[in-house]
Amino acid sequence: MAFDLSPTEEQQALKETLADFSKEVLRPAARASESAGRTSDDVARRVHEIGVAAPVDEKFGGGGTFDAVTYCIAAEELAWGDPGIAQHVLGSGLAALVIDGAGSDEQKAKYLPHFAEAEPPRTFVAIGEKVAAGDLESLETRVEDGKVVGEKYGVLHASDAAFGVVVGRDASGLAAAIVEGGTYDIVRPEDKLGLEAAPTSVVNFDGTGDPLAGDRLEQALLWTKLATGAVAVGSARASLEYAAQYATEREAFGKPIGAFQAISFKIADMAIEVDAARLSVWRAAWKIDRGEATLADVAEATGQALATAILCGDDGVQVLGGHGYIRDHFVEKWFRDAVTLSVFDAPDLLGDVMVSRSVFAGA
Amino acid sequence: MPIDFELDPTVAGIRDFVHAFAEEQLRPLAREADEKGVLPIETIKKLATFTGNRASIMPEETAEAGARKAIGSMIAVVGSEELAWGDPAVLLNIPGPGLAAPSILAAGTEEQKKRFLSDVFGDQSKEPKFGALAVTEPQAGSDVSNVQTTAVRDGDDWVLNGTKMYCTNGARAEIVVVNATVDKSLGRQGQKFFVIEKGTPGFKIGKIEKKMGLTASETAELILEDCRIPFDNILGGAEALEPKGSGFKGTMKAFDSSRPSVAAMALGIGRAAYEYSRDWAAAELPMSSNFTRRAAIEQKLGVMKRELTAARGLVWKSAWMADQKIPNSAEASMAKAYAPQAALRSCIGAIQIMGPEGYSKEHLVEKWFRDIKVYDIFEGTGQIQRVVISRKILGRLD
Repeated sequence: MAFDLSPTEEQQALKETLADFSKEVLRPAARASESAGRTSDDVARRVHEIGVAAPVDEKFGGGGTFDAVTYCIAAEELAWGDPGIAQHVLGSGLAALVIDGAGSDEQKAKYLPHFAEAEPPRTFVAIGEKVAAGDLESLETRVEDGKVVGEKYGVLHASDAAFGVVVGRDASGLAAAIVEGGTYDIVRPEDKLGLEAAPTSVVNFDGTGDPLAGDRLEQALLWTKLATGAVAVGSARASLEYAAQYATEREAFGKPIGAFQAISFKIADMAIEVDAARLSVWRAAWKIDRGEATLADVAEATGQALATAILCGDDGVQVLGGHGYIRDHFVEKWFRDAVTLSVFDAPDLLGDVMVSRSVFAGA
Repeated sequence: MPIDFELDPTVAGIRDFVHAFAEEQLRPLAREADEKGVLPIETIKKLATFTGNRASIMPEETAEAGARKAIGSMIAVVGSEELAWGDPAVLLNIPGPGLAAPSILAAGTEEQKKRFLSDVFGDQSKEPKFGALAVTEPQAGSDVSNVQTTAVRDGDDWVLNGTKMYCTNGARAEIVVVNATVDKSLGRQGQKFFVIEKGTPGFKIGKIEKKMGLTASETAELILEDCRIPFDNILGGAEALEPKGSGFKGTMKAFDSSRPSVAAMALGIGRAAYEYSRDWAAAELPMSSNFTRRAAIEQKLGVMKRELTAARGLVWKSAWMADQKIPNSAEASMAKAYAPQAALRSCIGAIQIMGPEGYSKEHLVEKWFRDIKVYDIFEGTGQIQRVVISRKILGRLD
């Protein structure tokens, strides 16, 4: 028990497997998935086969649960390959985490085995709203007495989900229920700035749901919030590495542009921020694993990671200059993905407020 | 061992001990020390009594040996954060070898470690003693390779000539470690480190600087005029003169252990400002009051806190790597590049949150702002850290 940053052998092996997979499968599929507005079934299945999209206990037929630190290591690698695809496959597994954390034994027995199937159904965790975005305290959707009423934005896989979790509030606070697919109206699919490989919709819920236990809900949602942070770290690292490689190859004024400090200092700053953000995300994950994490811990880490992804997205484009702005290179995509991610589920602004609310004025 | 953010129990115990010391002994001295620009000798003696017969308030080597664990750097960073949280200028008045220690430990022989560290600093009970490191010169700041001070061998002696500046505790130090070139044709490989003892003829104290902050910390100019020291005072001994002997690289190695600690001090100052302004806001802006102002302050506090947490991650990582004997130059530079800037933003944020009470000398946040700025300059500027980091990533392209 002492401060240590060495991954376990299993974590290291998983990281290496996913790094190869991301390089060979996800990165080459990124543009096609973006154009199609969804991740292909083949790619989604191959991620699922590695067994990282949703930790499901063996007793429900899954490959076993793993800890939040391992999840964050895996999510970073997948997002390095492509943030949109990572969002598609990881987002579809988040419902398993919430049901595992806040569901009854019956709910777990009913829903969790689906995540272990060879072709798992698509699912969602619907949190975001037009005004409240990802702020759990201001959600307007009502989830009480078996009813789910409200309009949600950014609902993943809404058109073909088997089921999902809708998060809202009741008289006493945060509340959520499991909602079956097709029992809601899709207002419109979202045509987004980035993360196109993860299809989302605006959805109007006005029906019934199977309620999850409210007292364990916030804790169960922490992992889903942190997943956004881990994806952000992967996106930021992708931008950093791409820009660093480019800076050693592209020449200007007779030298590689990385020889100029206007460029090399950007690379250094990106590297510092990526390392710092990863450590914040790991710290929050470690707290989740010990059952000690609060919403503020996760908001702090995810906020740091999102700010980093945006900074690296911007600098990534800037290092490539005009080449960064055209779609022949990925950096413009990662910049769009990062900004989209920052409002998708855990807005930076609200994250920052949450960080301080835990310590401010008796809250 | 798996990824774990819990401090080793020995390290955590020392942190708690040092925090209490900082709160009770350092913080109350902060304002008066800043105004007077110096601490009374009685106070320094009192500070020395807390270090007892140890060389430092953070006995990392003793604790490390006692615990039989590689935790020396972790002790140094968590202790540095707490002491600087108490007060960064008073911290620099706690007697001990200071920055002389990392360079002697990195480049000195066993005999030199005993002679210049244990023998000199082992007993602080009668008289407080300081050590110092003097690298910077009027024409050589970040560009350490441009150092002009020379050391010429003369029989069993070295004769040093040159001017050093910005030397913390340099005027009152028992020993000062200086770098000087023994052979200009070798460039930076020709630079070696020497220990000069107080009172050596030709070793003169120049100007004591007046600064923006850290006013209670002595910053001295040192003048070497035919300063004659024994041959054995070259760090690393005669072997240092061999082609691969310690010298410039020795300094760089010392930076690998000192930079995480300096970054940790910056973190401590940033945290002090964060906590002070947070508590001020909690008292002055109750829940029911001005919503817009409250939201703006919450947002600012949130950013301050998450950046300080991120900085602590970098600091701890670089220290942990040092303890594990993993090369950490780039990571030490990352911590040193990030923590002072995050802490500076925290200090500015604290002033803005507190408004007119923020710039007022009634409170310490204006002082912490003045104090923190130099952490992005000394022990390697933020720019030099970025040179180190980018070379690690890109290689040498020029």
